[in-house]
Amino acid sequence: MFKFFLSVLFIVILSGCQSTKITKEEAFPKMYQEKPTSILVVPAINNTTAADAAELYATTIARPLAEAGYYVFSVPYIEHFLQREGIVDGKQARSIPVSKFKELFDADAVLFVTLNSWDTNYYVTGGDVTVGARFELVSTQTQDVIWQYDDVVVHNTSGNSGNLIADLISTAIATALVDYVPIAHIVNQRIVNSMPVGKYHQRHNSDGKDKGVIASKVTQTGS
Amino acid sequence: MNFKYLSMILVAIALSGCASKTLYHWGNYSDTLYASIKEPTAESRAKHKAELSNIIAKAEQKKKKVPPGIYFELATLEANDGNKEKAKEYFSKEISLFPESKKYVELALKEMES
Repeated sequence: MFKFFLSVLFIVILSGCQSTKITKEEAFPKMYQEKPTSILVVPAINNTTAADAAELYATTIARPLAEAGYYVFSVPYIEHFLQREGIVDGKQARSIPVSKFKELFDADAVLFVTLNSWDTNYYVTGGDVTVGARFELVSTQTQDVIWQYDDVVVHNTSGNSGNLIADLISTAIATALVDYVPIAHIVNQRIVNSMPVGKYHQRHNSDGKDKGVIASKVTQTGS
Repeated sequence: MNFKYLSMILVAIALSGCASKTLYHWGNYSDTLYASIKEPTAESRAKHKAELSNIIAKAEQKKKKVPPGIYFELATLEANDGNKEKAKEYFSKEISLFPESKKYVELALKEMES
């Protein structure tokens, strides 16, 4: 059972290593053409079984975007503003013409996210939290999708003392009591790493040749 | 023994290197915000408000910038508490740090005055 698991893991890692990588410029040319400086985050669409997922996203997404050099509008303020207009979830947020966000807030781009999975998994002496999300950054000027990423991030919560019983218990505890905020941070950071950096970042406009974007995670618009 | 010590130093250097690479000081922003949303009580709100002030104070100490939205959020909380002058001060700090915020600060100021 363990040997089988190991060989599956091996294949997964191998396939990861062999994924075609392209440069940021190749993946997201519109980001370099438009050079958005500010990003407005709307509530996520939550398709996961974790009721908390949208809130975990909302409270952790600002940081990687800001560290990537973008001005980020206060996520809780925007959430309250939208709620007062009757927009309470991500599906409703999508029905607003994006130019409205330029008109009201002067936002250059709007970040939409669909949370597809948020699962806590137990296996032999291991545990993990698996989060799958699809991100789309839409220009308020052109209504084009200028950045997108679709990823599944696995965060390991396994115990590894070498003692089977101790590991089973510590994994179960760690996985059950895990503080999901740091995990949400890790997921968001992983995904935002593919984004060209913005105005406030040192490498603004000079990261185009960075080759680290996995082509298969950059999906076609609308698919 | 020596190798262990050396690797500890290397880890410390690597970690500190990672830390100094961030643009901003974030403190416990996500944790207090999450708590105030999950259980919206006067206490959790006060904790988040305190954390926002803390971030501003610590950022100065650590010579890092205050992140986007921190002054803005603190301003909105002060406005809700009726401290209009403080709110105005924090709103204008947000604009001076981030000119991109001008329009929505003006929106928030209008909301405060109405």
